[in-house]
Amino acid sequence: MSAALIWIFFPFVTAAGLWLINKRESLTARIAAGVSLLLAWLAWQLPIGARIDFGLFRTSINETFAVFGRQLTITQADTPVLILVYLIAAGWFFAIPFAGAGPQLAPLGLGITALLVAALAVQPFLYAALILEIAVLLSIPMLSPPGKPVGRGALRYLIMQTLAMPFILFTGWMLTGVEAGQAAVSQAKQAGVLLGLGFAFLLAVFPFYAWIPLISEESHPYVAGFILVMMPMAGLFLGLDFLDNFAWLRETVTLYTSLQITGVVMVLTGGIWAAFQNHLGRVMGYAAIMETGLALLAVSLGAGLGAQVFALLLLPRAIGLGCLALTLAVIHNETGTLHLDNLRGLAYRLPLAASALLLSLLSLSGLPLLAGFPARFALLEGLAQQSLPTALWVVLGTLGLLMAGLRAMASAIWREEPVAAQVGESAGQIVVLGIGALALLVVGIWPQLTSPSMLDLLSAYVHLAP
Amino acid sequence: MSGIAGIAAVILLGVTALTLFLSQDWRVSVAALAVQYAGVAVLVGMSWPVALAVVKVVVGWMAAAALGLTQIGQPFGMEERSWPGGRIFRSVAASLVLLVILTISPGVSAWFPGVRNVQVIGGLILIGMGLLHLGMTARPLRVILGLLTVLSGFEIFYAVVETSVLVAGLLVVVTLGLALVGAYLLTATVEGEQA
Repeated sequence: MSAALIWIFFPFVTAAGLWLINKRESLTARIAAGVSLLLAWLAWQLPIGARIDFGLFRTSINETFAVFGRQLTITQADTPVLILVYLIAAGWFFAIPFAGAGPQLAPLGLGITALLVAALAVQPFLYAALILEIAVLLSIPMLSPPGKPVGRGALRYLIMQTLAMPFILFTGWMLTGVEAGQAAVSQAKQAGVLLGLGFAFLLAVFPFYAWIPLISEESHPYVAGFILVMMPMAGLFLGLDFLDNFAWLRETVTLYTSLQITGVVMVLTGGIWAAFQNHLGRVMGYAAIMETGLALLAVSLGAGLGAQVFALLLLPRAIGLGCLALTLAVIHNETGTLHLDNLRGLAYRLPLAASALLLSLLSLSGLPLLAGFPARFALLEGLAQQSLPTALWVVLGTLGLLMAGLRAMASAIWREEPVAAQVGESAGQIVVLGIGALALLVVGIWPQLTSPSMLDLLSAYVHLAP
Repeated sequence: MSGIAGIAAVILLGVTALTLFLSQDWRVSVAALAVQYAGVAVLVGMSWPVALAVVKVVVGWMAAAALGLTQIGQPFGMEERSWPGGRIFRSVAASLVLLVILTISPGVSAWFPGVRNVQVIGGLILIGMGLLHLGMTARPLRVILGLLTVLSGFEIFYAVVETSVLVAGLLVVVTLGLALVGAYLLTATVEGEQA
């Protein structure tokens, strides 16, 4: 049996089956969550490439699955990535019934997750750009559900992500020539420019990120959150693949300088714009932009420390944005709006949602004792050693998001006349919001519980790991 | 013979790309898209086996059919407020793009060993006109037409450097997927406007 059959084809076929019964939102969400959890558990337990004994029955899981002369390869070193991806997906699908995210998210989300794993597994890895494009196409019906006019955000998302694919494919071909020493220096520069453009489109790097706040405002917040967590994560892993595979690229000093400048601009602009938003969905969008900027900054620190910080940032990003998206979904379902002006007194109607909103925004701002802090602290420390002004600009950007969180809190506790406090959330919503908030606190207070597992992610990147 | 076919394909691509950009009638646009894929197949066929290159025509026609079928029953015009007014303005913009293409094509040829001039010019025409199209519209049909045009241009270049069957298959999936997403968005838009 091949690993690709278990972690790519099985979830993809399950997703197709779930699509046939997608009217039953709760059932599909539970099946998708169960399958994702099972796949994460299998990735944890099953050795890939070694013999497995089940009593009299013996089998082994092959690393490689050949398709038309190319391979889908999943090795033992990839299992931490599989566990992370499928655990995030399981958590997301589990809360769908409480978020009211619509019937599309579970089947399409599981299909997209399988495609993202395929993108990480395909060899040569540059073909991942094509698979990511297919995942983007699958995500459109989630962002723009039937019966709703198509938003500008979904169209821009489609355009930007589609334009990324040709650039990355060309770059992969060019870099292969550069690596083999067949290309001139000028071609190396051309490859660098194309690579930059490709990833700028793929990761929604400044100035191509306009679609992020748009889809966060126009689409269901829980669906937008899923896209904003999963797609950039796959893009970032693809970027690491490029760095890990091409020594020429790793040794280009200009690359790290460009990443640092881009990262600072994204954190700064994301934070400042977030501070002035009146729509909480847009705040989530700018928070996601900031997180991508932070990941780029982490990579700019270079192999070793940079890769470690990059890995440590992934889980807080997923938990922070996940909790924020769930909170916004609950608020949206209960109040019908995410405009701050219409959410006055929210803390007296939906106290748990208001608390989770504040906690998630504070965590994404990197406040101590919350999930975002440990990795953020390591990043700032690394940046300050290289360039103190850069670290200060990043702090300024995160202050912007902190300001957005404080504005949300001020609006939530504002009341013109005394009102009776009540708990408007359902029991299920209380449970999932509580789990999200607890995760933010646990990862923030005891980062040593998750850090070793996150650092294991780097085992697949032999040239970047310390 | 292939030289004449290449020049004819470039002229065909120029005409169809210009038609896609200038036309306000979805029937003309969809027909131009279908014809455009014939030109793409000729240029791709200079680098790929003919049997594989023909796939481009088949897939392109399927994409055009999917988009056309979704539009049946809709008004023929696709006027939009954001569309800059006047064919003269659009013609001037297209002329500028064509001028840029002719200027940069010798430089681009140097990037791709073994590429023919007709492939460079044909590919650049599609990429340039497609990007111009995308920059001037917010309508789902036009966005999809623009994206398919850009991707067709890219496929001409990529065929020169990559002959893998898997890549060909994945590009087919992407082209058809874009057309299906376009059909979905067009249907969703109509439903949304009626709701």
